[in-house]
Amino acid sequence: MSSWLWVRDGETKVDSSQLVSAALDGQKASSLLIDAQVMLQGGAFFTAPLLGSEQWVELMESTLGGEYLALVAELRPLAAAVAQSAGQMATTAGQFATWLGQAALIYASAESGAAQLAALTVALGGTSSLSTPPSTVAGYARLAGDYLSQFLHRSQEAPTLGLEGQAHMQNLAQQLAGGGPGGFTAVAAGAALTWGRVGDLFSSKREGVVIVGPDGTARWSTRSLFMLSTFLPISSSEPAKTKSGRTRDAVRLLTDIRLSSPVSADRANPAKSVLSGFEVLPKTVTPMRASTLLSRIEKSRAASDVGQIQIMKHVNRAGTTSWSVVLSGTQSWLPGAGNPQDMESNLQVVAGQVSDQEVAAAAAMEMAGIRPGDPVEIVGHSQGGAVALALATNPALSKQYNFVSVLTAGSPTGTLRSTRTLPVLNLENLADPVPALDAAASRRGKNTVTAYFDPREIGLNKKLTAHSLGTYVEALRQVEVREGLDPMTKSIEEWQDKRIENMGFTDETASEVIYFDTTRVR
Amino acid sequence: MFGTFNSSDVGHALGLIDHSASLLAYTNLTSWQGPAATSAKNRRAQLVGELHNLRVEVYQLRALVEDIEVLAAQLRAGAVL
Repeated sequence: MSSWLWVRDGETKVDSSQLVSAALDGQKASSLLIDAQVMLQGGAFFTAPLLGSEQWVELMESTLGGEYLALVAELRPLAAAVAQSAGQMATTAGQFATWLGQAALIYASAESGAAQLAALTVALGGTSSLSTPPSTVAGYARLAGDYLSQFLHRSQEAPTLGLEGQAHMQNLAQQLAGGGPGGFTAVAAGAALTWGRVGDLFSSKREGVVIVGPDGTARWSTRSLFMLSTFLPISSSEPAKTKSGRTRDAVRLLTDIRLSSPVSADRANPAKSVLSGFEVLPKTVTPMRASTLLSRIEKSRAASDVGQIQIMKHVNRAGTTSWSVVLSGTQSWLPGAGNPQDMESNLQVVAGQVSDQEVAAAAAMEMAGIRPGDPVEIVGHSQGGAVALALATNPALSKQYNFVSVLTAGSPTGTLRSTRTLPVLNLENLADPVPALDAAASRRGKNTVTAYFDPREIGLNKKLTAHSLGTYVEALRQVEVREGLDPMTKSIEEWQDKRIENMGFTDETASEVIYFDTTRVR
Repeated sequence: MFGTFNSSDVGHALGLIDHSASLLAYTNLTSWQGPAATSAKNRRAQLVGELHNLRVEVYQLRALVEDIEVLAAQLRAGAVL
């Protein structure tokens, strides 16, 4: 039976205080069983105190004595076995109590905020840094250092790191924004603006983003043009016109991109890597399982100035075409990056703004040839998941495309638009602070499922950090192995069933993948 | 008669196991609905069932200990004689 997975979906209702009481009952039950084990253990070491006198020896050699010794011989192993069972039950009851306590904290964090999370943590016998939150921004900076240290060094052993981090972020945002409505998004928007300006100083002013397909065709767009659903084709004869009126040599621009692109099959001769149209595409395995889809992200490569987006094209036996848009997480953490998968996009996404990465993904979708009505799913890790949900809930894009499924892994999605109809699965590692960076729990919608898991319980590779893609892929694989055995996986199975049905996947579906390179124009 | 172990100890252990099972069986989870709640309630039912099985084993242990105590008393009486 699963002891590591928690599901929060549209059906969930709970009083988290009640779960804390239940967890305390479970702790007490475990303690009583340990006492019982100790008592029963005495029988395992019982020695007949009857051989001390001649009379006793004589009696023990009698029929009655023989019967007595036989019973004592029977007693020891039985007492040992029963004591061991009591000990195992104590462990199981303790795990159950921990499980309930963890559920209480997850729900309190999602529904009631920082104060209730702190109160329940203490009620469960723990200590919480939330009980005495920092009173200054500098205090939060020190706290962030502590969190980073935990994240890097022992994040797998700190399963509530994400929950606490989220609550601290809520407190910090309230302090910065005076607790007003939309405080956090306002702070994030301000930070995004500042980050962008610092980046402009470090390199040069951003002037949109260029997306290059495997055939060398390219589009240029900006966040403003994206609002108008405009992605301008650029080629050697049609240079990209930037907002400032400067023109760039499109050929040089494209060559620069191809040279620095991780996609290029032959960096010494970029022309060789340019295919003629999308007719020659790498065949790939159809991602029937969600874990296969998520692990697809590993195939994307990136550099500080160039990112990559994959779009998979699937054609089933009936000739129906569907598409998977595959988005990686953050690749560049410094201001002034050329790769739009950077910190600036992170801040824009959690602020609810259009990001360059969203623009790039939308352009890639158009370049791939996705037609209205074709089923489209989007998967993303970290920033990619947040961008995935932003794309799928974008009103204009929702009219243009038939989004049928979203999968996010370790993504901050709490400040994004919610959806009632679109099947969404959010995966969150309880030890991963990244989903907490939006200072909000994932939205709960009728078709949105958020599954939390405890990394200690699923035998993860210790080399993986709590946020790594491999951690999330492994968690999904384990859910798939448990299929049909655990009621906890029911919501995830239902999401997966809808996904397969909506995408029109059959056993004979053929899949190809198109790689797009993306870079900011500077 | 067994020094640190006798049928009273087993009886006491049985009481602790009963108390533990009651705590788990009657702990209030009524406010909780959804797939995770179903899983938790199933897990609780499984735990209580396993504790019931343990209880049966401890009863057997107590019966054995009581048999030993009766025999020991008879032997002691024989020794006195």
